[in-house]
Amino acid sequence: MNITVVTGMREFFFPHRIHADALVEGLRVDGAASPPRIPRAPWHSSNAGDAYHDFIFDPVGDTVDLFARYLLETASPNEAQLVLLPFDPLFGEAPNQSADARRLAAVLEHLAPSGVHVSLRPLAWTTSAADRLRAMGREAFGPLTSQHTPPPDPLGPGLPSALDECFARNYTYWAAYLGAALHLQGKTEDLRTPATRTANAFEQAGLKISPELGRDDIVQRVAEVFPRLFA
Amino acid sequence: MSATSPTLSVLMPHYNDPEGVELSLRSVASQTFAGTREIIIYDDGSSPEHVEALHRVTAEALDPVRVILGAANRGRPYARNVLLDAATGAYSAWLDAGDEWYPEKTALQLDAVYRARHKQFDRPVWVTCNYDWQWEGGKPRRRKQAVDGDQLTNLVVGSLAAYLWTTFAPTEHYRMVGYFDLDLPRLQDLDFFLRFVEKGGMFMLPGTHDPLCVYHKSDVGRDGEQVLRCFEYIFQKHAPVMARHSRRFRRNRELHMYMHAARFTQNNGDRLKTAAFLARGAAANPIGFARRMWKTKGVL
Repeated sequence: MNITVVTGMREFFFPHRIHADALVEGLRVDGAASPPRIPRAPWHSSNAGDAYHDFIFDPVGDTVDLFARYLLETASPNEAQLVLLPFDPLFGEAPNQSADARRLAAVLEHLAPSGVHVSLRPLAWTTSAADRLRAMGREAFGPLTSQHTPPPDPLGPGLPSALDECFARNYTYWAAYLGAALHLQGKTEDLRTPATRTANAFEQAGLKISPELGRDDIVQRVAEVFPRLFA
Repeated sequence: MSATSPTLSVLMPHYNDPEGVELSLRSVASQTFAGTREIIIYDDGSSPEHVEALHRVTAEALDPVRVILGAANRGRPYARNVLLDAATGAYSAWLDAGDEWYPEKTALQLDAVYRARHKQFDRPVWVTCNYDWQWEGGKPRRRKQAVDGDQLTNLVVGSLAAYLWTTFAPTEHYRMVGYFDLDLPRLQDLDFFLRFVEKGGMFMLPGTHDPLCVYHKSDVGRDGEQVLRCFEYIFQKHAPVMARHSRRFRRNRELHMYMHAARFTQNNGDRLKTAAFLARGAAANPIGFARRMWKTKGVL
């Protein structure tokens, strides 16, 4: 039994939201017959079809312990479970909630019977789930490239407008990601908050992104750095 | 939650009805509740051929089933007590052989327990649910459980039906009531429910009004005299509850008791006894009897 606590989900949803079905499908592990189970705290209000309200758990104070017990009591021995939290400790945002995220993982580990594996992962760097999410981002990003000639290189001159388009089309993850690349080149004076936070986090992590790198190279660099932070 | 104990114990008494067990086990297998569970069946001294069939059914079930064999037929309350003692899950839910749960029952009821915890309820809680009531050969009829107001009164008048298989609760919240009364071959659940509320417990509903289980109803083989004695015993045992109400209320309950016994005897083809129970009901509460017969056009 695996329970993975995924943090930083808010960055994926805001300023706009994606449909619950898209989220669940996006998290399906390649080759798996069904997506992982994403339990929701029963006392949370739900908007049908709204992935953020349906699945994302805002851990607050005592509810952390309660939710941890709920997760363990409803966990299938044969199914992976994903717990989706809005805040990412890495971004240094909402320190209380970030602490709650860590506490949730700690309580789960403490309460979990043997055979239950609990891990804490920031959103983008969980293995195949992240691949699926990235794929969703790429798919969403696809039509954008066709509107620009030449296609917007993350570090090229077309990027600021691509970034705006990106925000406008809900692709906050990619926006933040690309924004970080811009920021590190000193081109990001008017970047919006998520991107700035991401960029700050990259800098704090000592991540070097040089102008000659393409998007795939940046993905690779970031992927190399982040697991070390959470090792 | 320990490394070995399951989250949920499914407790099923059985007597000479392996086909009913098969039906019930299928409904357990279809539950959306994904946590760990154990199924315990207590066989209350069924005939050897029925025990053999029971073993066949449980061997073919999707879930592993633990069968406890009783040496003799000691009745439903004894069976329930054995099962309550045997449960190792953090929660228990009951399912009488032959009845069915709809797929979301246990998942929604566990959610309700957690909502109660989140609201920091400090009273023991059983989560009941609306249910379908299906007479043999008939269509399901939806029945609602009334949890608002005085739950003791609701239990006595039957608007909160004392059906154990509608409930789900932390196992300790069942055990706090004590044992089922062995002097009640019928209606032992009503006594158990009343004791639960008398000890400070409360019933709540899950977050849906949809029925979550179905009771396949049949009066065949049920003894009207026996049910009457059980009603009288319960009303005596819980006299303080009855005393809180008006004389009219008590007379109505008395009438209900006779009508219930009359229905049992009628459905078992004993016209003489049926007439006798109706006469006793009419004598105990003439106006109530006349009203009821007029309202139901004589159908019991």
